[in-house]
Amino acid sequence: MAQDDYTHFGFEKVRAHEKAAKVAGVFHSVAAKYDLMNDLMSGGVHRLWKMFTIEMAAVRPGQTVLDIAGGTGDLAAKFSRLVGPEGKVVLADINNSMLNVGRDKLLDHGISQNICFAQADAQYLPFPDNTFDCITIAFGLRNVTDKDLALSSMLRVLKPGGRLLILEFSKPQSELLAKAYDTYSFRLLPIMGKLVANDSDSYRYLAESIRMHPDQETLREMMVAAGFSQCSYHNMTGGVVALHKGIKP
Amino acid sequence: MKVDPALLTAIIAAANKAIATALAYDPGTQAALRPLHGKVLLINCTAPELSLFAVIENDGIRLCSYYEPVPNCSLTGSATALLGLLWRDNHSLADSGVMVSGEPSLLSNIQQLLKRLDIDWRQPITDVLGETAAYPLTRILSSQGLWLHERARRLPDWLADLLTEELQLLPSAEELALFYQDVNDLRTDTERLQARLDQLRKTRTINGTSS
Repeated sequence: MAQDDYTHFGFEKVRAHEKAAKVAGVFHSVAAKYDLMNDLMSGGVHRLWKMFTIEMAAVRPGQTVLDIAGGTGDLAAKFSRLVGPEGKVVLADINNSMLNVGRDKLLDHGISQNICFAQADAQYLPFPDNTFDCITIAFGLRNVTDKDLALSSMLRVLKPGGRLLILEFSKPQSELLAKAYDTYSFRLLPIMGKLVANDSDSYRYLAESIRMHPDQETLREMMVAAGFSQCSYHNMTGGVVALHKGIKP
Repeated sequence: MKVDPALLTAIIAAANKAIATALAYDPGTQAALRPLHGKVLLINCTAPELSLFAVIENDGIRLCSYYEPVPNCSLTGSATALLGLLWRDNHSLADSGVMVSGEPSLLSNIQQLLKRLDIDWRQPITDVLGETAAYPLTRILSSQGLWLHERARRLPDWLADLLTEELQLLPSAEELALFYQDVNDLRTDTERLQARLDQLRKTRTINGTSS
């Protein structure tokens, strides 16, 4: 994707090189109340989605895990326990506000032995080839400017046989659910954002960015095109969220 | 029909909490689990579609919906067939709709664990509600639990029948008794034969000396 190409920022059309800055602005704004808003918006269900992701990652002691767009460290904290002292977890996020919140949270919980933090762009991962046994990206891919570039970067840093897990909002599988979801996303979420985080625009972007994200099958095909094999996905909560999984051959 | 992974995750999380709490009140079973550390039982439900792995870890059991290493033993069947195993009076797998594969010895070990299960239910209720409320509640639960307990009590017998009659991997008690009887008879006959040979040898020696 060339710098002068256009892409989407929610429903707004922006130049590709401007998107990252706009997304950064959103996450600088929401970082402090990110966890609270996740619980409020999803009714706590986001914890179940992430628990399922952890299970599907099937991480074992001694392994190396990269959690991209790891933000406030939900997944990284669990991976840290699973890989044990012989393993390693890298919590990466392009946004330093989110990374600071995540680092502080993990340190407050005494998790630091096998975790390191990196401010990194998913499109240009600053790690050697064939480094990680597992890469996860939870609710981050839809914010990436060039998703194909990010998928290629993830493929490069994965070890052969390593797995990529993408947890992301997707397309509800029933029309009734889709209508209810639209009402909830575009009417209620901005109000909740205003009341709790004093920022309705960021949560309007959240709802819009979800609608612009590829659907389940399209994302699976993008993973195949990037070079992943055994690509599959699991719909959760009626397709509101999907977990995609692929293996580096 | 596939179960929503989020819903299944919630059910599994609740079940894991319940199992951990129950085992905390049964140290004997916890100790018995340690030799089985690392063993995995897969319960593959075909309707609704879901897979449940029971992973034995140190002195506990963890349920999960996905596990990468190949399980040691698998049970496959519909939910009604799998649950029906607990309620069936007939302990055979024939016409039960459930298939087993892998290490039957793990089933045998689980059978022993179920026999040993002895959870002090009054203690956790007392911890939460206090002695005054716990006593009548425990009495009610005890009476309701008797029916469930009876079904659970039959499960080891079902497993024993499965291993001896259905899969014929282990001899039954009657077969063993007959075998031991045959061995005793053989030993007696051998001793009798040896005595007869000794007698004949002695007679031959005497006759050889006389002539």
